[in-house]
Amino acid sequence: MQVKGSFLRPGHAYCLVGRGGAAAPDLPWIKPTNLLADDAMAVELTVPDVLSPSDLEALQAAGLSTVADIEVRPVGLMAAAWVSEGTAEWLVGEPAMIAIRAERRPDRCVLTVEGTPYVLPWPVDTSELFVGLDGLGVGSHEIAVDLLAAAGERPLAAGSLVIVVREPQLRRESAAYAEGIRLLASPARPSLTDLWDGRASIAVEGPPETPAELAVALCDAAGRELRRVRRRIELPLTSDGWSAMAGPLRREFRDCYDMSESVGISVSRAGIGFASLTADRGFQPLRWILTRRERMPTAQLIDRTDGENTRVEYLSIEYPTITHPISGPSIDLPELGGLVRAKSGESIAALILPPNRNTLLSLARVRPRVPTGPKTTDEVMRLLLTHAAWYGADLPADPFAKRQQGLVLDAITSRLVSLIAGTKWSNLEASLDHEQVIERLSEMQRLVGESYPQRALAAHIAANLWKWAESPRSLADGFTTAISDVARGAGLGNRPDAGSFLLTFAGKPGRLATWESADRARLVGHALTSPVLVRAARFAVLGTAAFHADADSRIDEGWSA
Amino acid sequence: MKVSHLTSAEVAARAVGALGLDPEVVEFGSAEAICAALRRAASFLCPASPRQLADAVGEAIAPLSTGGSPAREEVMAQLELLVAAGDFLELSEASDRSTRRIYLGPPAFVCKAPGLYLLLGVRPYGAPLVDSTLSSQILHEGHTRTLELAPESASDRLAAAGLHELSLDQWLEHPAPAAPDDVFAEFRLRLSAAGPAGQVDGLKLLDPAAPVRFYRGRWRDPRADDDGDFVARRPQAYGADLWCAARLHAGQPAHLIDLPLDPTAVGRDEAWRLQAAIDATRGTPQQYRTHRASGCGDAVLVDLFGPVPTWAERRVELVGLPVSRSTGALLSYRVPAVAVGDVEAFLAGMLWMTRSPDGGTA
Repeated sequence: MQVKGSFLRPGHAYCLVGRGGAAAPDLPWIKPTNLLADDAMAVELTVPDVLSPSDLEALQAAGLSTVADIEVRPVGLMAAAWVSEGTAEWLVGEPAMIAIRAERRPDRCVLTVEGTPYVLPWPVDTSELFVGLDGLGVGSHEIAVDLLAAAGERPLAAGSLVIVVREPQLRRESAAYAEGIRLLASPARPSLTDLWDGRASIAVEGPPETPAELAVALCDAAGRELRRVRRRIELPLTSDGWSAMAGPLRREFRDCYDMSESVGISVSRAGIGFASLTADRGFQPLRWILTRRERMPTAQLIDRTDGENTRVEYLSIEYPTITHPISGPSIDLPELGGLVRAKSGESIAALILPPNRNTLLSLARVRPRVPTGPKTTDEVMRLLLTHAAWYGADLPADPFAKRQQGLVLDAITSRLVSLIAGTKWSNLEASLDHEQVIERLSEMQRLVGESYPQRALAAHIAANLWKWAESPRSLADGFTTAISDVARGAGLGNRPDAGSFLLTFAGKPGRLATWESADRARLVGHALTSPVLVRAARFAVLGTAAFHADADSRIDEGWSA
Repeated sequence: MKVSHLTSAEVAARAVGALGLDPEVVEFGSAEAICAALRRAASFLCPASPRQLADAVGEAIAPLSTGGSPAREEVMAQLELLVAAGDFLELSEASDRSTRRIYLGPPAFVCKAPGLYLLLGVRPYGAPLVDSTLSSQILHEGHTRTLELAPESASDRLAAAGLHELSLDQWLEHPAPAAPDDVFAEFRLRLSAAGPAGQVDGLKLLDPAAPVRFYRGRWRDPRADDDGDFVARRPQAYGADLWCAARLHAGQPAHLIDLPLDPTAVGRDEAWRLQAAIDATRGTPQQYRTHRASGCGDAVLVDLFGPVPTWAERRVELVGLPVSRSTGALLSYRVPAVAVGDVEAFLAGMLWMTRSPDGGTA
């Protein structure tokens, strides 16, 4: 290490280089060393922690000082560069200010700047002198510092300092080593699905027109990388720029997206910082995905609970109310599809399994079979909750899965209504083909009831089916008004939501699973004792559905309170 | 060439002037001066560790020991504010991800309000952030630098000066707005999925039943009748207590998850937001207070009775300044009257807070 100045610190090691023939101080801790240079010499100094007076004298004679005697450093405004005990740099126009600290207070200080001495009296009662050097031009300036005692005495300490004044350094076109990269997400901390579905965007701030590498990696639940894609980008990357990249990126990840639990996005530039963002899927304790295992289509459970209490079960299309426990987190897809459900504590994940399309097309239409028990509230609730399980399950993108789900929901609803509505209505339901409902409306009207008020109710419903089919709200309001007298007789006169309950019961009974349980049980009890209301509601539901081609989606929107 | 003896006051004044501040207005040991010195140090030294930057500034100002040179802790505190604001970036090394160093934040600006722009970032090699014309108009307040410009031309002027515009959302980095029920529900879901907590000694709970205006008094030990989900802290062998969410049965922890869940977030930020959600779902939302105070002119004091996440602090500090806390408050900010509405809307929307008609005790 070369000491640019002339200061030595006790306890430090130095190498002193001088012209050939120069005499180094004759001290036991100074030893000559090899130097491969002509007309130059070098010695190694291992400065002891404590210097004796003879040491100091020998060093002074050689033009060296110890820092214990004197310290010179920038003060106030940090130098643009500062090599301790040697060189300080400032930019042109900046005030060069130094502090000179003396362990033994001198009488005065002499600064020699480019051969010109400047004498400054030492301030009283202080060991430090602050000096301003104004007007230094661009370039290197050697400053010699001598601390003098009263006139006639030898110097107390001496040394030198190099001050460099330079023009400001211009920023290169490429990034400076100091400039960082900032990765911003909006909203902050988005989920994987937010990014995937375009609900969140990314922007990368950084030195303009600077190339960088963008890497995107999808990882599974165990953190294993499923795929990594790299792109070269130019900073800064705006949100619009990210949006343009996101589409092609999604295509590259399409086949492993379902398996992924998180995405890591990073931006890096050699020699500059590395910024990254990790977005996970959003915590789902249990999640089903469709994949392939040994070329077999499979449903795989991603279990992020502790796993010990997770129960998995399967319900078939053919018998949708019968539960089959499954051991293990996966199931090969049955030919006709079905429902898989995982439960752990309060967490539930259910998925409708898509059927094999070829099998589906080659088979005659499958009618799910729904055995029922006695006409009790418990049995009604069992069917209602089973409907809810099928209704609330996630659907894959396969449209045939939705079809199979629809078959099951219709079958459960039909059997639930039949359980309460009586034998004649049950026979109607069993023989009903939903494509022929229009042709059987008269029969339904007749089967609603036999007493005069019941026949009047049925006639009123029949006369308004076409109008109620316009909107779910029309149906709900119209039906509620229509049944008001009969409902009052059944003890539901003070329930303005009775019509909504009955329509939901007769169309999408599973949606009643979210109703308050005690209230729901009371309403179910009324329905059990007043089957005419169930028949009337079923007539209204089937009739309006038949009047409108897409009645299922419209009715979904509006019945429930 | 002139060599002159300077007093410490003269050194300080020259330094403040060289940092682009007005020595008649800004004191050498003030937050504004410290931040300007840190920006200068970073401009020449980055990438550097926080300690290197603090040492460089400290070394230059330490000789001015009289007249209140700032302590190292103050320098580090301002450094953290500059990192939090975005003037500096704390990033991993590209080659060694475990080492984090300070880099210069890219020059940018954020529109605080039409006509008012927060400047961010530092240029390398001591270059000024903006030209001298704009520099002379910068308002320095604490660690922030603000420019007041005609709104119709501000974006173009600042873009021409080489500053990139950040949206407020990008700068604030706050989570997406959500209902308190949803925020609480997510944590409950995670607690349900967590394994058994086992023995947890020294657990402290934030009591949701305790008054929301007495933050310190809400902390207590678990009791035998504690059932439910709580924000908590638990001691660890080395370092500050860990923030966590805990589910208790009969006063014993059944499930526990450490915070933060998001590795880029701060544990206490998630904890305080969760507590705000719990309080809101219980019908006892956290509160803030607004009032005028003498000597504040047209500004309003906004008092908070409990801590808020960092991103909420940034939002309030976007338009206001932290001041000595009012009686009964934990935090107080001086906010211009015209901006109070936005601050209130933010506190209500993001932390479900309501205005307190009267005081409380922090």
